[in-house]
Amino acid sequence: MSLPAAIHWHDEIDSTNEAAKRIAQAGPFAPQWIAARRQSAGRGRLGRGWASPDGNLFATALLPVPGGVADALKLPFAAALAVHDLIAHYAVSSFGLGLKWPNDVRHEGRKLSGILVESGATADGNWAAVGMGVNLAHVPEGLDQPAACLAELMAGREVPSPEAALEVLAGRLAVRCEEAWRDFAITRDAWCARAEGRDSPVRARVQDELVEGLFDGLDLDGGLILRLPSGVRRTIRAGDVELVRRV
Amino acid sequence: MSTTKSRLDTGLIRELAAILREADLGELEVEHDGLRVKVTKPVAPAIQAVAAAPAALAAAPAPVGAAPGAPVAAAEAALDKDAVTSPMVGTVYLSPEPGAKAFVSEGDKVKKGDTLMLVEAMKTFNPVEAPRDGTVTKIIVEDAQPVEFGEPLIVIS
Repeated sequence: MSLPAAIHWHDEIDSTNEAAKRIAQAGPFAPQWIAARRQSAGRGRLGRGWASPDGNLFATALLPVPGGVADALKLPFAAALAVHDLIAHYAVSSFGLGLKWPNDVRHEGRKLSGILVESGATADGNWAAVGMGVNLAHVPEGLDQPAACLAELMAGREVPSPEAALEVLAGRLAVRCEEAWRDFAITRDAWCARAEGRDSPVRARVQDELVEGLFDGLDLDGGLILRLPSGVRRTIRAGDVELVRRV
Repeated sequence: MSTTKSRLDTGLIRELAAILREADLGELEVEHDGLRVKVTKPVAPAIQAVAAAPAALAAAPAPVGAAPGAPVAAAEAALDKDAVTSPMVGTVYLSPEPGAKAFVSEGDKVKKGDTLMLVEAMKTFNPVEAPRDGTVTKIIVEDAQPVEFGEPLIVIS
């Protein structure tokens, strides 16, 4: 397995994921990071915008995925753990940090980062673009959900530059990725140990259907296991998930 | 294999599939309101699926009113060698973002490598690309519908 070593910094780019996809589709490529100080068209899931103020980190790891689609589906968990590692590395305390399925890193329920994995295949094999936006210095405005930034967790210490943060993140992603592809049980257990709300009520929207149950961990494919009121366990693989706060 | 013409209760099927896996059964059949649903476990699933693959999902027999043995699009397309199938279990999207124009419409000419739709699982997006030049003769799935591994999505002929 080869993980991206080279980091290509751009002052401004449309979107680091778009840039990575263009490289992947153009032919054989070396694993690499594409990072930007500003994005003019940062994107989240389903074309949702991703605010990109200066001082936050926007980077995409472009890597070959020799194991195909099944291995690409492990990357959101590896990436979430890598971002969690990054935040824990700088924050004065890791209390309040948690993961929400599949790949949101949050502090007390407020989003610290966004991860968007896009994958595909060419004649040269499968590839994945693991896009990560991490709120280092600023909480982006205009979000549809509560957000936080690393600066709030550093008790006045100096916030790392995006360049310094990416050095740490790149190292952590390499480790988390290697684990996930070698033995996903390691990833699953690390993820579950950091998960928000084990045994808490969770609501998942799958197409037009609302599924409610108790969060009961991850399966070995990364699916979210919910224990339904009937006692049946159901595994969620796509859709929007929210943790229902107990009042 | 026959199945119902009306929209299937996928929630029910998923629950049954969950019970099937939970109890490690090979096959499960229930009858409710004139609809009989049988769920069987594929012998060797390529990717472990949340529910049994559609080929193994037989909702038999058709409810009163539907012509017995009436073929439906999905069943037809499953046999259609021109159908492009889903690379993974997930949710299918026909456009790059909600409200945007669909990647392709029926009747469109496509080139090999063109993106036809997206399939998402675990917040990972995988494009479904045209395997060859051709014409979109049928879009089998609806936007935001859950799909199984190997499920026929679209027919390119």
